[in-house]
Parts: sequence; C-alpha cells; structure tokens
Amino acid sequence: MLDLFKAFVAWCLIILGWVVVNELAERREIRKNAESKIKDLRSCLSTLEDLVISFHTSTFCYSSAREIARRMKTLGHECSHLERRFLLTDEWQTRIVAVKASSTLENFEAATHECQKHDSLIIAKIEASFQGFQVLLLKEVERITFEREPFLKTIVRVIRGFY
Amino acid sequence: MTTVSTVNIGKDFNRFPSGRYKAQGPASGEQFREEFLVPMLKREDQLVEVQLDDAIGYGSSFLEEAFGGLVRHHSFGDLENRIVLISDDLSLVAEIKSYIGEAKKKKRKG
Repeated sequence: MLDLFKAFVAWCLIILGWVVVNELAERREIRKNAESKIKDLRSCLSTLEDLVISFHTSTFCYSSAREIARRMKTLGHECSHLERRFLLTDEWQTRIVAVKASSTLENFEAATHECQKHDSLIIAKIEASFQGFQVLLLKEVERITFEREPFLKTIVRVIRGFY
Repeated sequence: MTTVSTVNIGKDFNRFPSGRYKAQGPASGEQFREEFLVPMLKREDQLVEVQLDDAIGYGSSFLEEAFGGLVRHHSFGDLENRIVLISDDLSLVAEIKSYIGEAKKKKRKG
C-alpha cells in the first residue's frame, strides 16, 4: 500500500514537473514573439517618422498624406492587438495620440500646408513625440524581457489550472 | 425609448476624410459634423454610433474639428455618453475623447 502511494506521489511530481517545464517554455516563446513584434513596431515607427518629416519639409503631397494616415491606422491597430494580449501596457495610447497630433493636427491639409524648415517648431514636436514613443517601446521590451514570475507562483497557477 | 443610429465614416462619408473646414476639401471634419453628427444628435432620444475602421486613416485635424467642433459650435449635453465610438484601435477612441474633453475645458474657461 505504501509502495503504491509512493509511486502515485512520484508520478504526480513527474507530471507536474513536465507541465511546469512546458508552461515555462511556452511563456519564453510568447516573450520572444512579443520582443520581436515590438522590435518590428519600432522599425515601422522610425520609417513613419522619416515619412512625416519629409512630408512637412516638402511641398504638399496628397499621396504622402494618405500614406501617413494609413500607417498611423496600422500602428494603432497593431498596438491595440498587443495590448489585448497583455504584451503592451496601455501607456502606448497616450504616446501614439501625441505622435498623431504632432504629425497631422497642423500643416496637414493642402490649403494650409507650408514647407517647414528642419528647425521649425512643428518638426521639433514631431521628433519629440516619436522619440517619446520609441522610449516607451524600449521600456516595454525591457519589461517583457526581465519580468519573471516566481517559480512557486508558476506551480500554483499550473495546479489551479487542473481544476 | 433610446434608439441608436449608426454612421460608418469610411462607407457613408469618405474613405480618406481629411481637412478641418469645408473650404479645405470635400471630406472635412466640419462637413462630417454638420451633415452627419449634428442631425443625428439633434434627436435627444438618440445614441449615435460611429464606426471608425472602414476609413483608410484619419488626420487629427479632421477628428478634432468633427468631434471637438461639436463642443465649440453646439450645446449637446452628455456628449461622451451619446456618442459611441467603434474601433479596434483603442488609441483612436482615446484620441477622439481627448479632443472632446479639451474642447469642453476650453469652453468652460471661456
């Protein structure tokens, strides 16, 4: 009887250990995917910044304005998707609103567009807002990379998952 | 009884809404506000649902004039609860709400 009990406990520990290892591996994969996704976002943001600055320092171009609006929309949707999967905190929303406002609130229509100098206030606002968003995304990568769930908490969560 | 009327900006108005004022083009924030939002909001028992995702994208000047302009040029009460913004982009909803909020603050200051 005792031998049977010992065997049962041993098997329970083996199964639990296997589940915990799988769980940690899965979390590691999710973390790696999130880091990669945010890295792509940063790259898109950098390209978008170049496009926005080019737009404001040149004569009005309808297709550039349209492209800027389209890319802002894509960026917003991607960040929303990451937030829903708990891979981004909601801080990004304030940052992207600042990016959108600096890029498209002023000097964005044909009737009012003026070719800006690179040291103008509009360009300075654009650069500051994009930089703010880039810094936030870097912090999010750090958070995702270094955030660790205590081992005991993982075990408790796995055990609760059985019920 | 509260009814809900829906407007889809990308389908009912323009795929690329841009510009603040009617003088700046055919798809301005002012035009959208006056042709769609204001008539819908004038019915006091009506909620206005605004579908945002079918447009290619938005200039902030369009959004600010369309929604912030509701506060500046009209006196609709409880605007935040009467307009329901539908978008998968959480920041777009936040942006529009911020323009309504800022317009209200400025109006209060006089």
